[in-house]
Amino acid sequence: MAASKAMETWMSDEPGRPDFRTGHPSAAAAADAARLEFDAAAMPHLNDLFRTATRILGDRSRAEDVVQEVYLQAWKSFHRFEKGTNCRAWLFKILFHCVNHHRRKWFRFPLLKDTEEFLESNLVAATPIPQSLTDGEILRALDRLPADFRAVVLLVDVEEFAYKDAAEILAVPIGTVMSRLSRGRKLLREQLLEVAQSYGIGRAAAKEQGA
Amino acid sequence: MNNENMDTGMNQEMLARLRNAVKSEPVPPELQVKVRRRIDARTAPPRFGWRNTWVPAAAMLVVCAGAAVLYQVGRLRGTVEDQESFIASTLQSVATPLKPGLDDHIHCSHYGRVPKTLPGVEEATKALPPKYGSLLQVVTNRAPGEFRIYGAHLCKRGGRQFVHFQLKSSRRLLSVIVVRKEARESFVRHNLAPSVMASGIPVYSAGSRQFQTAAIESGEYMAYVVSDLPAEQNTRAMLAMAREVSEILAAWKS
Repeated sequence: MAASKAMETWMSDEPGRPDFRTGHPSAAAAADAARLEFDAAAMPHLNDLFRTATRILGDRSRAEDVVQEVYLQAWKSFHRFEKGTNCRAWLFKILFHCVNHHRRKWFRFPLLKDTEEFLESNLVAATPIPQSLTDGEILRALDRLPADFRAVVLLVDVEEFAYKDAAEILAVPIGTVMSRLSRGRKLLREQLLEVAQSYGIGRAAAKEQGA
Repeated sequence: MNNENMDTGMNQEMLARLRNAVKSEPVPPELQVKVRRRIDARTAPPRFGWRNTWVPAAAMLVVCAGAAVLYQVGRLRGTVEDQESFIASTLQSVATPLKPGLDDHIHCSHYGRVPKTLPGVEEATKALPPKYGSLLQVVTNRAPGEFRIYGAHLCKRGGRQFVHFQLKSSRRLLSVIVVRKEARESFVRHNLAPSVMASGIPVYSAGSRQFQTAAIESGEYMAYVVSDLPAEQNTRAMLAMAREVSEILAAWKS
């Protein structure tokens, strides 16, 4: 609920509080106070935003650019942000808005239709995932997920947002979040299993399960 | 741990591995500084505030629109050439016999000096020869109530001599002007239709820009009431003095 409220204030033009970004001397003190408030509320989420942006965009320098833009946008809209609402969800909402903007500018991500087709040909029955995979291997498997699924897995499984918040951040229905998450997880598990099998790990278990 | 999100697709341990893997991505140490710098750059100059952008732009627009209106009504014509150009274009749309009075009004009253405080009638009319006293009396008695005389003089314009009474209200100017007709100059001869009759005297009217002109002819003279009043009020002003002015002008003839 708090996240919804925060995100509504970002999307809406209706002022929640006075706009401190003016040249009036009396506004200077208000701007200083707002800046402190902004730093306290928004800066703690910088690392999470950067890591999510990196995973979504697959490029650290682009992620840096996007995160800077997210904070700039957030600062510009901060006078409309309501204290006590979910600042983290609000920042992630802005992040995905910026990412979508940059996607159009930089490259074309696979559309959901392509993703569905990809899934049809790749989904297999659930098998146990070997424990001996490295972080790098897990990240590579995550990066191979179609962008739509990757975004949901990152928001729900990594950043631990509730379905409802994730739905609002991505501007999709909650049912879509759930189905993308389910498919994303299955696909991720398959990717991890492939990696493990390439090292000869877990083949026996897979065979046993298949038998 | 977000238990509502758990399904059979991934166990708790694998989720933890995934979370740790993502969180292990190093964040550039300078990123926070870069972010702060960009925000500072955005905050420092106040020029981005809408008040500092749109208010001056709106003010400029209002000033430009005001200047355009003033130019159109002739108030921003600073040089004699500009004023003459304005007069010429204003006269274009009125019939020839109406032009002398309108021309003299714009030249003497619209572009002339108008005192902020009204002088007494004696002071205002001291330049007027005594033989026009009866005309002065009609003008002062019959002019619309809110108008007071601030000048009366003989003036020359385009080689013709005019008797000019200048009156003002709080916001408007009004002139009563008399001129001798030139050869073959007549409202009747120009086939003008009178806009109204006053005691059998035809009154001819025309408007151009903000000016309204109402005129009569009597014997060898034409008399005009010119003002920036609405057309009906200007004609009414002429109607109020038409009979007496006509009689005076007829007497001059004899």
